[in-house]
Amino acid sequence: MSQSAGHALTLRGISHAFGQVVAANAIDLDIRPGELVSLLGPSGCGKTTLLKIIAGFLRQTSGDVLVDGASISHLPTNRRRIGIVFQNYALFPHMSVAQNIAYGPIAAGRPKAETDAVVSEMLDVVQMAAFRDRLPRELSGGQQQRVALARCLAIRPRILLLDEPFSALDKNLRLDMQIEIKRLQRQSGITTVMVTHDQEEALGMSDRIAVLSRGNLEQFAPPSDIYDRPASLFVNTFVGTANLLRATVAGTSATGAAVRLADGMVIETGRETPLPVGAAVLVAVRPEGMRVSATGGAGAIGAEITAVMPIGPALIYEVALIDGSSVKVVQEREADAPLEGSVFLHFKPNRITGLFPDHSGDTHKKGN
Amino acid sequence: MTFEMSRRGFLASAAAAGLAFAPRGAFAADELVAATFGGTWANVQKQILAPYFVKRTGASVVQSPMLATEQIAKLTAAKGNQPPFDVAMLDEGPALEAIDAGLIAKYDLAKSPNFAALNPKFQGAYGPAITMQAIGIAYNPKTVKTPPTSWDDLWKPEYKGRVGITSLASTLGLAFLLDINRLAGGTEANMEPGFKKLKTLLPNLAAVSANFGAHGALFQQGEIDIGVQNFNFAEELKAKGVPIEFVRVDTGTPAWKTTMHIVAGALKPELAYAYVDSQISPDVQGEMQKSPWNVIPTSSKVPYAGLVAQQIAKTPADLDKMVFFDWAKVNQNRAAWTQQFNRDIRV
Amino acid sequence: MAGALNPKPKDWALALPLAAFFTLFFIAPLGLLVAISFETERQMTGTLGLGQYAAFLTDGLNLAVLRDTLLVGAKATLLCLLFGYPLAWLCTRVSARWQAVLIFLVVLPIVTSVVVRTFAWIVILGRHGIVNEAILALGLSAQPLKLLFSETGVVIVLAQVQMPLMVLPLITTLQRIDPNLESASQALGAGAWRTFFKVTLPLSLPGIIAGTILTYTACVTAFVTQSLIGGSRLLFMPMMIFQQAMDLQNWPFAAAVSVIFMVSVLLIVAMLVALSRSRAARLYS
Repeated sequence: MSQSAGHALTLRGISHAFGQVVAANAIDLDIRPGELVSLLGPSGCGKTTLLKIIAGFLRQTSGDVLVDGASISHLPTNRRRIGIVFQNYALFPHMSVAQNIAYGPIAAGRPKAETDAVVSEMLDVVQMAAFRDRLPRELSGGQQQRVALARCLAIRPRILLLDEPFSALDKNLRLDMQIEIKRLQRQSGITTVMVTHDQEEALGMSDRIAVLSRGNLEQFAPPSDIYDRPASLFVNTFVGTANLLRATVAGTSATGAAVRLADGMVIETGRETPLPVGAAVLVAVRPEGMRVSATGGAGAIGAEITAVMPIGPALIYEVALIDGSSVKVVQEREADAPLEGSVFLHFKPNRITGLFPDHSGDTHKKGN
Repeated sequence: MTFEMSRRGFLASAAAAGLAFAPRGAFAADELVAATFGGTWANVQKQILAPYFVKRTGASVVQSPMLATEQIAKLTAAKGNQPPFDVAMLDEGPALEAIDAGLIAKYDLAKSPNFAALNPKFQGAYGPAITMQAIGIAYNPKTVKTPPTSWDDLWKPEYKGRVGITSLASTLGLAFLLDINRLAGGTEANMEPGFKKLKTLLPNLAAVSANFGAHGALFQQGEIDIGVQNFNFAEELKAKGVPIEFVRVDTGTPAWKTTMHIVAGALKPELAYAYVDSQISPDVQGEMQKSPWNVIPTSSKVPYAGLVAQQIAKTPADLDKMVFFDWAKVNQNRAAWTQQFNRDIRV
Repeated sequence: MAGALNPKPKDWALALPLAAFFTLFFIAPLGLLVAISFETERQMTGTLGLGQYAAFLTDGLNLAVLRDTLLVGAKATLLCLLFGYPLAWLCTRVSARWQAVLIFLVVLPIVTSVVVRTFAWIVILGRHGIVNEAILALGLSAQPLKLLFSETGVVIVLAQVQMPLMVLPLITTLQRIDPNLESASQALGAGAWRTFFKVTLPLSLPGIIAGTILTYTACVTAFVTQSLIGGSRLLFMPMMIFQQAMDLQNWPFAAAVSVIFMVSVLLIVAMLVALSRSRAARLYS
């Protein structure tokens, strides 16, 4: 595919408010050429606002949008050369597949021969050549998405925006399309920004993820960092499943803080915290970062199994700790029957994802 | 929506026929339904005739304003069923049509004590004439400085685009056309001279009203400065403060009788007679002759007074000098004239 | 019970009152109208024939009146569309509060009596009306313009009076258009005009056709407006039918004129419907 090499996209201090509601608060993002970046967050976090600002549908209250270092904030949408695939694809219902794809080149005043060539090329790229004369409503969801993508790529956009691209597809098709789009994006090297509220989608497809909450950028990092080293309690709870154990800081050292759990046991976390000794903290640990067993050992704490759920290759245990809080543990299913009754909870080394201040009265529920 | 035109079309048939099916007066045993004309007539009959009738009979009356042609349409549609009203009020031409069509009953003198006192020429076999309608020229004295004296004044170049007449749907327009035809040498059998003359008036016409009601409003709004008008109506407008003066034309005042009739098959004939007889009573006619109504009385017991005496007639003999038309012949040709009129005045 | 096994007859029975109403007050009178139109004599003696139709069709005046009526409706409808489309478009772009205000203003003519509306227009368009006073004051013309009793006046007033019939279906259609489509068009490099003509306008065609049908049928049959604003010198079909039926008591001829008028308008409506069918079939499943 003859896409031009990727372009860099920069958001500099982007803020936007709808009346009293702040949808974006001084967002800075540096997106490298050819990168696929997801804007991830719950609804209302400001990710769609950012997408609209990049596309030019919305004019930010302050801040600047730059492509390859040059501001495009003053340009209307139709002169930005930024392609967008909408959640509902927004194919023109009165035009055939080919007419939809030709729309951009015609609007740009390309000669007919060139337009025809682009249309054919795009149809091949998305493997839709057999459907060129169909109307959008005669296509399946996946096919519509391919056309939407082809229509978008036909203008050779500098940036590709994907707005919740897979939410309208059923689960089986979704994975296929994710792989397909990832492949196309890699091939073309086009800088892509995808808005999603689906963490798996974001984790699976992105080079980097920007996690947003209430208009604030919580973390901008590769998926593994987001998952393993969340920068905030919000990121920790929004991405993946988190167990939050109440504890107090027992001591700090070069290798990280030690915390005292509810039953008095002190464990090394391998994480640093600015909090002083004695401060209440929440110890975040993922279900796969722990293990239950019938036998105790160093660093293991007593617990009671309250529920067991076998899910194919794995087992999910719900166990109650001595302070009454409950945690979830995922581990491989052994040949033996699942454990029951009193057990020991082991912390795997270096698997604690974070220590966060415990503000009593705050809600620690999972974010989504 | 689509079929609104058809609704218009069977207005005359279906809608009117619908009226005939509706049982009338089921609850009000002593209620008379009487037709009246719109405008001045509805007002004067409501204020003077209705209270008099109520006092005389103890019954009540519903006065329903309708054009003469509308009354005939409704009576025709209801023929063979209950008529929608018991008393008709018609101009001479339509009255002849209604009589021909058997829509109205012969008038029983025994039931109408005031009938005998009418001037003989107002004693019709199918009902009394309740007034004379006389027409002339009305003008706005603010904009027309020289009072007109004849129809020919309407043709003056200075009145280009300022003259108003009505279509032939109104007796006013019909009488005007008949009179200019007469003056141009025509007769009811030969209207060519009249139509020829009318065509030469076209440059001066500001408006040809579709009906009498719309015509009156044109003087009020200053749309027309001069035009054909009915004596009563002009005087009523003047009494309301509209700048308008009425003059008779010097070639004789065209006039016609307005009559009242008992509808054939009337539901309440006794009340209907009492109502018509009230209208020709000296008391009612005397009241109606006063301003602002100026209704020309037909009872010999009511001497001409006020504006009627000033403008129209001092003695019954003066009425005889007015110009009358052969309405039977008019009726024969009205359809053809209407088409001709449509054709000639069309923009 | 048989009805419980097969609910269809019961469902059908629910439509019976409407069907009866429709038959009694619409089909029957219409049938009566058509029947009367075949009476050859004004007195309706029972002699049937096509005489009334022949009489209408052989007189050039009648045909001219028919043509003028259909044309004045077309002009008023076009004017309605020209002003109504931007208005409807605006209604879909403004805040909910402004939309309510605009729709109220649009609907206002419907809730006012047609006679009142028409007389208000007489005052506005007259020689000493607001429009002419303004024109004279601004020195745009030395003489008052003849707006009343002119076709121009009739077209203006018809367009205003029937505006809701154009605007309301347009608003409905425009609101149904996915706003993403216009965004997509812009993102593909199209400017506002291209977006309007290539996306918004074609997709609102069903509303345009619905509005046009409603407005057109209302305009050509608007007896009160046509006769009061137009006066007798501008003769249109509804007035001609009224004249024949009421003034001249010539019901067979009036009926024949009505049938001819109805068929003419229905033909035009049928063409518009056919157009909308073909387009709508492409646009919506």
